[in-house]
Amino acid sequence: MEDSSEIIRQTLTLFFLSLIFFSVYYYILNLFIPYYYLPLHFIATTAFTLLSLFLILIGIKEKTKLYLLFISITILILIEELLLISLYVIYGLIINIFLIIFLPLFANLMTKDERLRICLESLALILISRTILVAFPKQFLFLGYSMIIIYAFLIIAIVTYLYIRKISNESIRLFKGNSSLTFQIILGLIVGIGVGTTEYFVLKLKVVIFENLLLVFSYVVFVMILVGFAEEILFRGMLQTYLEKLMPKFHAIFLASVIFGLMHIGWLNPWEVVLAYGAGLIFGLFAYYFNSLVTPITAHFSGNIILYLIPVFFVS
Amino acid sequence: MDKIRLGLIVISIIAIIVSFFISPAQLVGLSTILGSTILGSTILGSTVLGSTVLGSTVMGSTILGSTVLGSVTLTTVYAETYLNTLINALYIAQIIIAVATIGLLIYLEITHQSYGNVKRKYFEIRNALLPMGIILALIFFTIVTLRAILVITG
Repeated sequence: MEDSSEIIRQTLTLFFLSLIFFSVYYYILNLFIPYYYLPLHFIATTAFTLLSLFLILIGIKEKTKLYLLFISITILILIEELLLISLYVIYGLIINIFLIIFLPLFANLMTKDERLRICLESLALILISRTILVAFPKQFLFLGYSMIIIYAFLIIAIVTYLYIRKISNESIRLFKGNSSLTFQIILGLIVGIGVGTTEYFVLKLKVVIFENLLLVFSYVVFVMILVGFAEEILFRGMLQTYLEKLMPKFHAIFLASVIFGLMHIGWLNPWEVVLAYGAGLIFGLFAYYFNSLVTPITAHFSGNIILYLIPVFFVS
Repeated sequence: MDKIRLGLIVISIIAIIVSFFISPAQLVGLSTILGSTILGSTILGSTVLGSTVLGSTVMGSTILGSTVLGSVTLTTVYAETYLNTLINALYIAQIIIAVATIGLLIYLEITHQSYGNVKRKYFEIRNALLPMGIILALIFFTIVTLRAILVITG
């Protein structure tokens, strides 16, 4: 059993190392490329991801193939995400669909290890969140409720997967865990408020005002509950939990957070990727420490609510 | 099915129903490519525009002004081009998903044990593809349904 404080120390050391390297690198890059120029985002995000992966690779002596497999998949996801926001978006979608079919197939045919299989299948499920968008006509892309439907679909997909694979709630930490429920919720709320406020200052959202406040509220609440549950079950509940069974705990938390950060490339802001990655590490540490998703889910959805409500009440 | 999962499904269904009562408006997406689309065309655009005004009036710096203005043009042009590319890509991806899903469904059907003994390897492939096959079928069903609705409603 690895010592919890040691895992926290290792994880945070890795995070601060990558943050310092990235800040220096980004500052130098910024001297040559204007801030709002898109290639800056591409170069910065790619460099940050590769740097993070490189930090994981340092000191690896065993299970090299396993690490190479996950690093290769992470780089493929990075390419897919970058293509999705580029003018070559179709190639991003093709890689996406290919991975969704190939990853489970590879997992089942090449290994009998159930832990690895669930890890790879959870990555495929994460990618499904992009594919769902394809189902809707173009008019849908510009509507306020698109987010609700996308995440509602994702939740249905996750529950379907868990049902077919007979994965219990306990094995993905979807239960109370080993600490008081009230304490976990309060802690989650405090962390969420901090993360949400920081995220607001990174993104500076300007929210379009709906016709009535009740609809805004129901929209925000529904989206945030769905987003909080969907992303935490996928990243912390499935991916991180099963990675922890394959590699050292802090590597598992780190890798899941890097991929979580990658899924925020769409915001076109490199600092959002770094923030999501940092938030992923904190949520991952909570999930590990309490052996429960209560704190990460509470922090995630309260953070998102704060992010959206600040502009509604204080800006607009 | 346990209470948590049932609860999640119920919330999802209620959310979809509630979404129909929300008036159409843009809102920035969260960690989806939708976010980038709207960010590119609205949020980023307006933020950059704010900087332009700052550049030309308060700062009064020609260099800063032209740099930011260049970025504004780039961002706006990029956002428009990106939207067109995205819409075309979505159509192509719909076809790819449709073909892949039909292929998967046929495979899942013919390797079912009710048609007789199936080789172990084929059965393993079936088992591997089953969850994603069902989820892709769900997406395919949505594509077809929405298409039908669009055609009927004109």
